[in-house]
Parts: sequence; C-alpha cells; structure tokens
Amino acid sequence: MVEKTQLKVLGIKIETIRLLLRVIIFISVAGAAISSRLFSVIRFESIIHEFDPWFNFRATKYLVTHSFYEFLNWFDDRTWYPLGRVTGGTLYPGLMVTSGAIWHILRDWFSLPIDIRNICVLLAPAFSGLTAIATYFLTKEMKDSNAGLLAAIFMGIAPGYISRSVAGSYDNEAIAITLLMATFYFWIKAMKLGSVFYGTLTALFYFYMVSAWGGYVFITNLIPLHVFVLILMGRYTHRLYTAYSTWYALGTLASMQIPFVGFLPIRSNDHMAALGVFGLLQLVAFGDYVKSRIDSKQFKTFLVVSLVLVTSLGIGALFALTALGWIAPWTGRFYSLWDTNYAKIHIPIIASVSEHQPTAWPAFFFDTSLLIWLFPAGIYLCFQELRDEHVFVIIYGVLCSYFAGVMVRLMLTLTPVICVAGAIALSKLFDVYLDVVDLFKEEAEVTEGKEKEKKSTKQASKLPILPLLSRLLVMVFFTFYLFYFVLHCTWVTSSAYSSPSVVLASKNPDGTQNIIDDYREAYYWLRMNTPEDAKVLAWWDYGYQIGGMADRTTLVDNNTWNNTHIATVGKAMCSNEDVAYKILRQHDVEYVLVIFGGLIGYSGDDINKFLWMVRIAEGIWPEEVHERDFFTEKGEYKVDGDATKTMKESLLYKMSYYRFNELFSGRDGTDRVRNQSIPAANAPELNVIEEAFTSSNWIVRIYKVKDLDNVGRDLHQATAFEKQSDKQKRTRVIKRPSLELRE
Amino acid sequence: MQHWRSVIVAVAIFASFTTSTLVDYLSSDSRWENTHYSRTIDLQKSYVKENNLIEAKNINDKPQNEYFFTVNDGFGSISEISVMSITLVNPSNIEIEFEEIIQNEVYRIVLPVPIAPKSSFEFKVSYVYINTLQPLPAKLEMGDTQTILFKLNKFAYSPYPTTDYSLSFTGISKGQEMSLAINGNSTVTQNVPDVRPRVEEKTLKYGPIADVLEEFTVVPMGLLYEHNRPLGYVQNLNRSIWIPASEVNQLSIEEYYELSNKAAELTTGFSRVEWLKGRFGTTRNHWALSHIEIPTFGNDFADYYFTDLVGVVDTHSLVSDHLLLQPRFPLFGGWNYNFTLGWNNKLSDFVHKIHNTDDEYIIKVPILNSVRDVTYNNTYLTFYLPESAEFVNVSSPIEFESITLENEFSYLDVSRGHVKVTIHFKNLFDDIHRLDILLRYKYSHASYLLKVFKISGFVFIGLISYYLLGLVDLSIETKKST
Repeated sequence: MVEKTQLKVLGIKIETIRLLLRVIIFISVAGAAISSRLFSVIRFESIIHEFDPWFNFRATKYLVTHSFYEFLNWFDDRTWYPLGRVTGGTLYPGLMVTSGAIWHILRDWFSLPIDIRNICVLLAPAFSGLTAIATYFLTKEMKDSNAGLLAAIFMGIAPGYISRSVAGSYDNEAIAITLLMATFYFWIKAMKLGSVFYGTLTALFYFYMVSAWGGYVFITNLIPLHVFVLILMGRYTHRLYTAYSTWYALGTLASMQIPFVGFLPIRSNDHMAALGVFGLLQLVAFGDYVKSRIDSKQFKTFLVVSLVLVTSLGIGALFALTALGWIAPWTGRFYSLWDTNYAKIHIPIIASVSEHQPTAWPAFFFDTSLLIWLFPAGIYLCFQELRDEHVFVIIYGVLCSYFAGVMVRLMLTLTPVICVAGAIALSKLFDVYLDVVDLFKEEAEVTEGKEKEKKSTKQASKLPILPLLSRLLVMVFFTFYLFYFVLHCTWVTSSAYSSPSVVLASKNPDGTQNIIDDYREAYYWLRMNTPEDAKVLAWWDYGYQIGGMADRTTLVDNNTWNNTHIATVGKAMCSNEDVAYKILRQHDVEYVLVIFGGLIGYSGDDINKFLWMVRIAEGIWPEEVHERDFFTEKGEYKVDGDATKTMKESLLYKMSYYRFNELFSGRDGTDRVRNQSIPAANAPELNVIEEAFTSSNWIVRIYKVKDLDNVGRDLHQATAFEKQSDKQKRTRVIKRPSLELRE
Repeated sequence: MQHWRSVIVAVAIFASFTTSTLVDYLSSDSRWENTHYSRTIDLQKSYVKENNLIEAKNINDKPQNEYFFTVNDGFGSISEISVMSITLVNPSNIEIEFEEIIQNEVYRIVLPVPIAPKSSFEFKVSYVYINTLQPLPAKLEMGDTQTILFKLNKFAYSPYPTTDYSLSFTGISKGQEMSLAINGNSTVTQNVPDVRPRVEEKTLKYGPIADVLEEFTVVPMGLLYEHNRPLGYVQNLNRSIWIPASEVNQLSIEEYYELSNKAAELTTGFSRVEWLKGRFGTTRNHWALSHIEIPTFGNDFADYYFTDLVGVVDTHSLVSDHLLLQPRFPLFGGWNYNFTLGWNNKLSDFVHKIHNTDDEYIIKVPILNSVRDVTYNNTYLTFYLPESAEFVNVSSPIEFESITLENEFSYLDVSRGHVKVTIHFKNLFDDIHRLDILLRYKYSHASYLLKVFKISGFVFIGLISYYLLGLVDLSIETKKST
C-alpha cells in the first residue's frame, strides 16, 4: 500500500491523478447524460411534455405560489367536476417539493429568479446526471470502480431511462430512478457493513423515494426478498439484522408521513412482505441466539416446531386480516403484473393506457442495445462470485426482466440493473483482455533465471503475437460495439423520445420543419375566450393538459381514480345526442372537446380510442352500451358508409366528422388515419351542441353545449327551425335593394 | 341626389355636463364668433381622428386672449380624449398652451398675444378619441361585411356662434347617415339648417353652410360606414425596458399585451370550414384580427421572440420592413389573446451620458411599440434601471396618469434590486409610437463595482465555507494511524 501511494507520474501522486481522472470522467458522463436529453428543448422549446407532467407542473406552480401546508391540504375543485379531488392527499409530493425547493434556493439564496417552468423542464436531465453517479457507486460495490464507471456511462445514455427523463418529461420517474439507485447503493453498503448509519441513509432515501413515486413498492418488496433469500441460503449475519431492522423501522415510520401513503405500510398487502421478513428476521435472530446456547438436537426440534407454528400463524393472520378488511387487498395494477389478461377483463381503464401494455421484444433491443445481451453474462458472472450483494443484483435482474415483459413502463426499472450487469460483464472482459502486462509477466518469469542479454533478444523474438492479436481483435470488436451503442442511444433519443407530443413536427416537402401546434392553439383559445368557470368535457387523456394549459375545469383527468365518472364521460361520447345531452346538462358541461386526426393523419385521436370509451362505459352500463353495436356485421370497425347506426349516431362520431365533407367540396371526404372515405350524403348534423372552435389542422375540435331553448322547444326542432329561417334570411339579403353607396 | 334612410337608434347617454353648467365656466366677457369652422374626421383606423380648423373673430369691445374650446360632442358620445394638440395656423405650427377645464370636454386656450377687437386668428385643434366606434349589427356571420356606427354631433359644439361651418369624413369607402335619437338630459337643438352630404375626392362632405349656428348646437347623427377591419384593442400593455448594469451594449425590451378585438362578434361558433373556404386568413380586409402588424421603422428586431402563456408561438415572420405576428387563432369580436413580444436593441442608440456629468444618463425610447391600428386602454411603461441607480426625472410629451418607483429583484441582485420606474398612460393609440419619452437617472461606476465585488465576495465565502466544512471531522470511529 505504502509503496503504491509513492508511485508518481510527473511528480504527482498517482492516486491524485486517478482522482482527477475520475472527477473528469464523472463530469463528462453527467454532461453526456444531460446534453443528450436536451434534444427536445433545442428542437422545439422549453416545454412540459405529454400528459402527466402537466399535472405535476400545475401542482408545482401551486406549491410555489402557496405555502407548503396549503399545498398538502389542497382541494382542487377544477378537476373531476363536480366531485373535486383532494389533490394534496392523493399525490406524491416529492417531485414538486424538489423543484419548489430548487426554485426557492435559487431565488432566495443565489438571486437567480428562474422561471419555475424551466426548473421543471430541466429537472429530469439534472437528476439523470445524479443517477449516473449513484449507479457508479452501486456497481463499485458489486465489482470495482472500473465497472462502476462503465455502469455510469451506460446509465447516463441508455434509451430505456432516457425515454422517461428527457427535458420536459417532468414526471415522478424523473427523480425516482435516481432515488432508486441511491437507496439500493446505501442498502448494499448497510448490508455489507452492518452499519446503522448506512441503514439510516437507506431509510432516508427510501422516504424520499416514497414521497416521489408509487413505484417505491418495488423497493419495499425487493429488499425483503433479498434478505429472505439470504436467510434461505443460510447467510444470516448480525450485519444483515442491523441493516434491515434499521431500514425497516425508520423507513416505514418515515413513509407513513406522506399523506397519500398514510397507514398503507401496515395495512396493504403490497407491504406485508416487508413486515413478514422483519418478523422473520427477529425469529431468525432469536433462533440464532438459541442455537448458540443449546445443542444441535434440541435446536432441530425447536426449529421444526417454531417454523410450523410461525408459518401457519402468519398465513392465517394474513388471510384473516384481509378477510376482515384490515389489510387492503392488492390493487388492480398489481394483479395485472401477474396475469396480463386481468386488466383487459376487469379494469379496462388500466388496460387502455398504452404504457401498461405488454412489451414487444424489439423494444428491449431498442431501449438497451448491446446491454441486453451483456446482461445475462453479467448475471452469470454474479453467480460465479455470489457474494451477498450479487444475490441482490440477481434477484433484481430476474424480477425486473419479468415485470418489464409485462408492462412497457417497467422497462424503466429494468434498465438500471441491465446497466449494472452489463457493466460488470464488460469490465470483466476488459480486465481479462486489456491486461497485456500479464503476457509479458509470464515471459519475464520464464526468463528470470537466464542471463540478461539473452533475455532481451529472446523477448523480442518470442513476442506473443497470437494472444496479442486475439486480444486486439476482441478489443476492436468491443470498441466498435461501444461506439455503436453511443450512436444508437443518440439516435433513439433524438428520433423516438424527444417529441413533446403537445407539439407535433412534420416535414414540409422542401425538408424544413413544420410545427403542428393545434393542441396549444385550442387550449389557449379555451383559456382566453371562455368563462373562467367553464366546464370542459373531454376524454380523460386530455384532462391534465386542459387543466394545465387551458386552465379550465374538467370532468375527468389522467388521475383515473373514479371509474364511474370516466364511464359517464365515455357514455356521453358513445351515446346518441339525446342521451348525451342529458349527461352534459347534468354535469353543467359547457364545452366538449374532441381530438380528431382524420384530416392530417394524426393517429392518436379519439376515434381510435373510441372502443376503450365504449368498453369502459359498458362496464358500468352493460344494458345501455354495447361494444358489438360499434362493429359492422363483418366485425369491422368502420367509420365510412358502412359504419353502424349506433356509430353514426354517437356524439363522438358526429363531433369528429361534423362539416368534414365540406372541405372536400361536396365529394366524399377521406379520413387519412383510417383510410376510409366519409360519405358526403347524410353528413352528421348536430342539434344539442354547436361548433365553437376548430384548430387549424382540425386536431382539436371544441363544441359548445346549447342551452335549453328559451321558448321551450326541443333542441332538434329549434335547430331545424333556425336552419329554415337561415335560408329565408339569405334570400332576403339578396332581394334587398342595394344600399345608398358613396364612393 | 341621395335618398335619406333614417333609422332611429336609441342611444344611452352617460352623465354629461349640460350646457348650463358649462356656461358657468365661461366668463361672460369672453366673446368670439367663429367665422370659419371646418371639421375633418378621419375614420380610417379603429379610432377617430378629428381636426378642427377654426377662425375666430373677436366681437368684444376689448382685446381678448382667452378662447374656450369645447369638444364637438354635447350628448356624451365621446368618452375619452386620447391626445389633444392645438396649434396656430399663422404663424404656422406654433403650439398654443391650453388648460383642460372639464375633463374630455372643455379646454381654455390662452393666446400668446391678445387679439384686438374685430380682428381674428386662426388655429387648428387635433384630437383623437377612442372607444366611440361600435359595429352595427353587433353580430355577424363570418362572410359578412362589417359596418360601424359612429355617433357624433353633426354641428359644431362651440360656446360661440358659428357663421361658416363644414364637416367632412375621410377614410371611408361606403357610408350612410342615420338620424339618432338620444335620451337623457341633453336636448337637441331645433331650427338648424338642413345640410345634405356630397362626395368629393373620396371624402364625404357636409356644407359649407353660411347660416348662423347658435352656441352649443347639438344635432346627434349616426354615420354607418363600411369598415371591414378589426378594431384592435389592448386592455393592458406592460412595456418593460431593461437597462443593463454592465457595459454590454444591449437594451432588452419586453412587452406583454392583453389584446382583444372590438369588432363584430360571430353569430355562431367559429367554423374552421368557413374560415378556410373564405380565405379570410390571407386577406387584410376582414374584421377578424388574424395578423398583428408591426412596422419596424428602422428597428431591426434581429432577435425577437413571440410567446404566450402556453409557450412559444411559431407563426411569425419578418417580412421586409414589417414584423408579422400571427396569433394562435384569429380574433373575432370579443375574443382575447394575451402574448409577449420581446427583442433587444443597441443600448448606445437609446442611452447617453449627459454632457459634463460623471454618472448621469438619459434614455430616450418611444412610448409605444408600433403595432398597427390598435388602441390601448392602460399602458404601463416600465424602466428597469440597474441596481442602486437613482431615478432623477422623466419627461413625457403627453400626460400620464401616474408614476411609481419600486424595487424588483432580478438576476444577481444582491442589495435592493432593480429600480423599477413605472409610468402609467391611459387611452393611447398606435401613432403615439412617434413620441419619445425621456428619463434621466444616475448610476455611478462605484455602485457597479460594488455590485461586482459583492457577488464575487459571496462566491468566495461560499467556497471558503465549503472548504472549512470539509475540515470538520465527523467520523465516529477513531482513525487508524498507519
């Protein structure tokens, strides 16, 4: 050791140089991680992306304009009209508090009054830099700092993680992955050292994680599983006991401070594993103590009796408490993790979300490139060494591979372990193949006894060409792979994950970029030109955006907590005008908003989501709404002339295609999403609502709900009458003698 | 000969001063006769520009230098006078001092020299009033042509008798007169001469009439004319001018507009099909406001940005000498659009050190940006002077409502924050951009250096404290000595 520290290059200690290099590498990794996430800001603007981030952004704005307690007690009457939402109690405040704190610190301490929007937009890239560093430390615990650095760079640019952390995707996952990595690192550290200090740090980061993301349940189950497996492997130690007990006790107490979590850690089934393992660990510790006091024969009987007793008691208690309702059963999302068809049958809302769909296998290659095939190798290497911390990586890897296969969004939790395992594999490979010193050393050992003059000549002649060549070849290949990996990551990030989805980009014939900004156009119209308390009905996907950009009250939004309410909206959309009007009037709806992509070929529109609305409505009103009615006799989903009567009479269909044919000057219109022609004859007519606004590319269409007729007519009659009088008026205009004109 | 088509329009009259109260203000010994009174009203834009050319004869028996000018109203049709200027015709273009006796109604002109009995003087009064034009009918179909009703007093509303009177309208292509019934406490003058309009060189002319018009003649008249243009109206404009503390040659200007359109409303909702079919978005001749035109007037707008409350707006262009901003949606009557426009100018073009002083500067900027054809209700012109600068005074060619002095913290403000001088104007219109406001302030080099040292001091303290914290040994275990 002493000699090593004496080693100097250019008069500087080698350790200092190593530290310097490491710091430079860290800075470069963080720089790469951050800059590759800025594509969308450069290409578009500093804007919040997609759907959920708009809610987080709105909540953050509320936090920085109100006090923290007001934020926690926030009752939001602008969503879920007329129910409202106890927002303060039903959100994970970690993300908002983080950006709120950054905003305050920058403004109050550094005199940098940065707009809260920019902080929100850039939070995810900033945290991705921290994630890379946390991954370094975690991997360093698994192997060494070389593997750690590799893991850090992988984590920094792996598309699987970038997909959720580009600038503007201001979502819980943005900071949650950082916390996940940090918690795991501290857990490994605590478990290795049996340190209360690190156990406390684990609990602290666990608390932060709980406050930030619902996915904390993953940690809540993974750490106990790790402990459980270690106990089964007979690897119980006092260090494990100290680490786990510290983490569990402190972490659980801390997590209960989050209003949304509350008493879940002792009541919900999702958390029972952690409690069970905690109990088990006490018993094992006790057994361990007993074992050290009595002889092995007595201990065997003691073990058998207590095992049977504890297992039966535990399982019995779990069932009894669940049956009594003391412990909440598992949530639907949890079930759908195990049975992929569960959601489709029971909870269409969960199934209707695209990120809850099973992953397609190319997605793995798309999101992780070469790491996906290095990953098994890394796991294999872990098996080879199989220290306690390697067990953790193995469990994490196996569990997450399964989960990622079930749900697209869980690709996100798989990516870190893929990076760690891939880095372990790759650094092992580098250890073996880069170490050319080895070759020469053997030579040296062989020739040690011989004379020195001979040695030099011999060495020159016996240069190990073949082994060197093979090493060179492997290295060249892997250098190529790494280059390719960087290229792939950049390409994926730039082409797939950097679109804000609020703003769409298309190419003009001459190659210039054309921005399609219909969403904001319509939302801004709502914001500027409708009464401030207007209620807007739209499918729940757009709830957060309407709240965030249009600042109007919505009936349903992306926080899908009330299935019935969503089904009501679905029913209004898929029923005929009379039924829909009743629903609209009952809910004080003033404006109805639909997304229609038929004109420019934007496929994410409401007609394509229509069947989910029907299914969700059918779940609540099976005798009024029938999915079958929306399919033709051949079982096709059609919007053209063959569309069923129910389809053509549904409010959504009418709103989408209202006056659509007039764009094609009397001929049949073409729906460019579904490639079907919309017949010009029998164009949809609206009686209970009227067109209020249509965006320039027709993506957003807003309709105003008509008031009750003030002479008590049926709205159908009133519309018919107006049409007639319109015609008369027009003829009158023509007949009128020309005015007194002056020029 | 033209046919007369009269429509009776009931007009609500806001509380106004009646002739009797007005008379009290006029001293009995002020006696003039308007030997020539010609009104020219320009209706080309979304506000009304009126020019009165008056020749007044002293019919008193002693020299007089006071003349009372009353705005040609008499029945409360003019709510707000924006800007008024009075100049002598001979010698030409000499501005005359005047005093506003009753707001928006009566002005007292004090002549530089008294006028002898029987002699006369000629002067020109120009004023602009806003908020008087309204579309009739108030709601239109998208393809219809908009007509505007302009209510005015057909004759001169002067405290003196008028012997020769004429009225002409410019800037309209088609129009017709409507008789107007008024209610309220104003009375219509009877026995007025009958005048018929005629068209002459693209202007609509009434008179001249040689009959004597008595004092305070009130004959309400409505002019219904075709005006297929938007009536742009800015409710609030926050125009902020950021003066940098350092030597950087950059003056940042940012303006926040709350724009709306006072033109006709749509009878139904907005139908995109009709908008596309009629190609209204490509023409200037439609009453929907679909483009915001800003003539550059030498300002290069090299790095302008156009945003609104939901982000960057992409539809804008710099065409030759115009900056064209297209709002996200066309504005029909009653619709609103809030947006922000910002750009940088060269500081050296606007700020100059005052001669013979060390630390006093003067900045000269236009009161308004040159957005075409809009009127402004409230304009808040805000100067952000560098931190710890001292505001001296301001000089404005037009009157302002108020001036406030505040501090606002901005980037790297470490003591009191930027000095914020806000000047509040009311009822402006687009042509005001020709007028400049001058502001004087003191900013010493020492206070700049102080700021720099303060900031670097804070950074230094931060780094030192980080180093000192690193020295503190928090470890519980005792270190093994090797």
